[in-house]
Amino acid sequence: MNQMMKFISARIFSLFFIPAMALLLYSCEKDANVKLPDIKSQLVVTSFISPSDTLITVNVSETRPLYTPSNNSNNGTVDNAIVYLSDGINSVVVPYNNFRYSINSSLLPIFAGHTYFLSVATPDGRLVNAETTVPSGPVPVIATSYHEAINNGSENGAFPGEIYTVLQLNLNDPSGIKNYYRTDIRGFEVNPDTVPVGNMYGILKEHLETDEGQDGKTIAIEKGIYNAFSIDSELKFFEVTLLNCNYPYYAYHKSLMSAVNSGGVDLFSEPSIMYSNINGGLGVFGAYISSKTRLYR
Amino acid sequence: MKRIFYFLSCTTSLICHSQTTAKYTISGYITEAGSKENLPGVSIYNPKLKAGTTTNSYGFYSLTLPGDSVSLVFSFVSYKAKQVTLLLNKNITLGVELTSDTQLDEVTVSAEEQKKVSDEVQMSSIDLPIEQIKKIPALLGEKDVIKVLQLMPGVQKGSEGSSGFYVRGGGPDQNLIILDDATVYNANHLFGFFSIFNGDALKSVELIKGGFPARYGGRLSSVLDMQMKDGNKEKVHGEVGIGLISSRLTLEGPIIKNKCSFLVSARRTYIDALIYPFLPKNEKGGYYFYDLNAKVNYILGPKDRLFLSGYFGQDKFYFNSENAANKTSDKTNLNWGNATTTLRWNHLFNPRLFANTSFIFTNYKLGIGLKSKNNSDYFNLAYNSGIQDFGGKINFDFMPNPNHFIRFGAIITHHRFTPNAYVVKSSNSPDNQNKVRIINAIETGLFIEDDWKITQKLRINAGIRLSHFYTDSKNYLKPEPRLAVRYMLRKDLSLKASFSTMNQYLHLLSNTGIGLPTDLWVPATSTVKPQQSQQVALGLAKDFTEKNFAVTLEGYYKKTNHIIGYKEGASFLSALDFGQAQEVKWEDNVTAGQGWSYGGELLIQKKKGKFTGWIGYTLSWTQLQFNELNLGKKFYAKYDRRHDISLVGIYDINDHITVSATWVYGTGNAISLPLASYEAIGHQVNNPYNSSYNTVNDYGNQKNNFRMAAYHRMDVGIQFHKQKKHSERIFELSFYNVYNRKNPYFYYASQEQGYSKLKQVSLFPILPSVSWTYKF
Repeated sequence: MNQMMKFISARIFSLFFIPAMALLLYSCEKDANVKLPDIKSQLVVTSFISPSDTLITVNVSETRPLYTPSNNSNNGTVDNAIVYLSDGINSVVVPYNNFRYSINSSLLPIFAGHTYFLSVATPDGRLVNAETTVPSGPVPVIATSYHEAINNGSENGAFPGEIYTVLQLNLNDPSGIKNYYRTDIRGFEVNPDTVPVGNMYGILKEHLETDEGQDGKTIAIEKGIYNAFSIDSELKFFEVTLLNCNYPYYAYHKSLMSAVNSGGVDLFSEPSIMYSNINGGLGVFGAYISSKTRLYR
Repeated sequence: MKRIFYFLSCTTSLICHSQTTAKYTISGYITEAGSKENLPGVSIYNPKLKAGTTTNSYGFYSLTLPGDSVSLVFSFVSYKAKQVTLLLNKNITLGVELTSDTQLDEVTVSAEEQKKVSDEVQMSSIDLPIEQIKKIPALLGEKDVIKVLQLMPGVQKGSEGSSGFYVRGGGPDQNLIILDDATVYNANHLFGFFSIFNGDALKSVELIKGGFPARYGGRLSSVLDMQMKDGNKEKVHGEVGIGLISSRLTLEGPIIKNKCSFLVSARRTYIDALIYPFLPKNEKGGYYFYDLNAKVNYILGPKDRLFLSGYFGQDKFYFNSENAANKTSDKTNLNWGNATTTLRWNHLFNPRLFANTSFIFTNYKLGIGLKSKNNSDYFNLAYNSGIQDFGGKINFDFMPNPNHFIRFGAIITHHRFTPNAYVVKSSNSPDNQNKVRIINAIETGLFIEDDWKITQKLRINAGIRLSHFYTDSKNYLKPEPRLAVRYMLRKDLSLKASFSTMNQYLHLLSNTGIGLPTDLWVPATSTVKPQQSQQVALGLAKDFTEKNFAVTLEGYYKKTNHIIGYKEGASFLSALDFGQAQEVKWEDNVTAGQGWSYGGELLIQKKKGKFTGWIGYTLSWTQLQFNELNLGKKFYAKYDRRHDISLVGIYDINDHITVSATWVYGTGNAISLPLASYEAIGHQVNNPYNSSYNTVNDYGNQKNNFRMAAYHRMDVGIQFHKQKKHSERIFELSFYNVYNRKNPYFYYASQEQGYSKLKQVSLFPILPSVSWTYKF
């Protein structure tokens, strides 16, 4: 799909581009003589916390301002920041370790429904902070089923007429609160518990969803998965992970998906504005609670 | 129907006979001397009774006055006024011919008798004399109605050279463009650099920006109503024009003298023909557009007239390459075009009731063709999208007395949308992939309005339109109240106010907003609601009759709901659901939002005399809000323009030389400019301690965060007219962007010395052009 779209996008773009080139014969190019906003490098802080994780990680980097000379390298990672994490009563310093800041979660346990505070300071005086509230509990998958469907086109680059599996999961949305979900579905040829992960094909399908208009109802999520490397019936094991995530987690990933789409494949698409809940900086401090379900064919 | 006429006859009798003096009706058509072309908008005025009317769009007028010796003054801009005195003791049919005013006297009609802006109840409207359009310098000499309208306050251009226009903050899709009653969906040639309207074939151009009368509906922001010339009924007349990029030919004349006439006007570019010999043999590409206007009219009798008119236009870009050695070939083409046909029948039921019935067809189609071959591998794609309308319309003009001008009628249109249809055939999947999605819809409207002179000071136009739309098993029925009020504060100075509610059942999906042919027309559906707007406007109009100029000052506030835009990351290509297991609907790629526009407009205009022109200034704000764009926050629209100034001057030095100049200034467009880039980390569900990195841009957390440099430009032109006994030659020399201002067309970041530098690309430097016109 993406390849096809990229091809067509490029071809159509060339149609516009050639007359545009003709116009540019008349046109001229020069350095822009406009007042640019004062662009300073900003801190980018990213952290996702969950009661089920044994490690709390915080990534700190900085932006590369455009239109000014910069010697920023190494993905902009900032290694000399002081990172504080607090639950409102206790606080810990998260030390730098191998390109990121991390501590064992036993030092500051993460609980469902609790609010956590993150602050990051750098020696040059920059200070950013954020807070996030962990969802009140896991939302389990109550039913999972699958059926086979015939592709009428190409799913992930497959040919029409091939059979692929459609997985459907149902969940009971807790009423009265706004919920955000992310699903991750994988299909395996072998039992992932018996074979090391690296030795098998995992086909990933990701999906973001809100309970808007479906509050308190049973929400059905349906995704087709197709294994490009083997035939459909060889996918024997399906693993469904459902994240009950908070709004910052959801909004950040939604804008990230749009940004990846708009930046790359489709030359005509709208630019995407990245979500951030970091005061004074960019990035996100998000939280989630996951639940996992297996299905065997 | 009979009942309606009976009711109207009774009403007429009642209104006409309620007073003691017997009243009689003078009615007829006003035409241009020498061509018998009907003249719309002519003022008919009785100075004694201070009563008057204007001709309708077919040049018909009707004035009912007490029986007496009556004196009437017929006046119209660029024509010599005519006074007729007659004894009115019965209903009289009076056809009047007006002579085109070539003497250019400063005052040709006394101040009392002129058609005055302050007198009109309609506010926020612009009517452009075609002769003026022809005298204003234009890009590459191609005279363009829409580009002249862009010089008016409240009407803004998009980007450099573009003929898309934005009225009071509304998008180009919110303009109802009608040519002889037929809707034109994409009015652009050459990616928007030229509009499709050929001035040679046009008789009248009127743009309404607010205070919409009930007879118009279906769009939120403006109505651009254009009428084609009917064709000279007395003698054959022609015009040939040769310009830098195109040539045009117009021919008109009688088929049966004074009864039946025709007009044909055609234009074609010849860039492709000029560059063809210079292209390599195995790589041939080119571009052309043409358009053709044609009209025939027939006077069946004193009460009936028939008009058949059509417009056909096409743009085509193609590029073919072949490499025999590698056995590869590539063929690409992009084409789009409009076709409209209107059949109209004017019928006079009685001297006070005029009716027009129209049958309308309009079609807009975009096609993309790709054929690629590499040895035995091949890929063929045929894509098209478009919209096709069939419709009928009936309008009645009822003029019971000089204080009422009642219009009512109905319109029904069947829309057939093809948002995308494609056929793909490739060596990878030899079976054709076919997809056609067609949506049918029916749009209807019923309206009634009355232009009512309540007192000499107070005049209103009150009306209501009932609009209905059916598609996708969904019915929308919306009443649209309209009201315009004019109150004379003192002589030649009036206060005007208006309110209008508009509904638009069609949406245009556009990424660029500049009117590319890839923009897609789609209907309101059960999930995508119709667009709606409410606009209030308040203004002052003042005529300086002795000095021949008028000043209008207006303020407006417009709120729009349910406008749509592509979601972030989506484009028209997202609707190309190649190979998707589930059908991708365009509805899934759009997000609905709302808009706010407000501002003030000043126009000082001189329409008569040796020196004509105007000064326009607009101060405006336009903001948008979409739940799924810019994180749900408000943002300034791309074409939000704080200041917009235009100066236009045309000076007829003598009968042989005309000089003209325009100067425009506009605040820069608001665009999304990346300020910094960074690695955004995504959470990996099944591997939370490993991060995925994606390079993203920071836009300062705000869509359209940056203002392009201000736009300004001056164009000048000089025309030399040479009048012969039976012909006229015009030679024109003009300069676009005479002081060579490098206006930004777009910005981009270029990598230099290890960092990105912001570069500006400008399109047109100073561009001289010449054209030659021969009229006979």
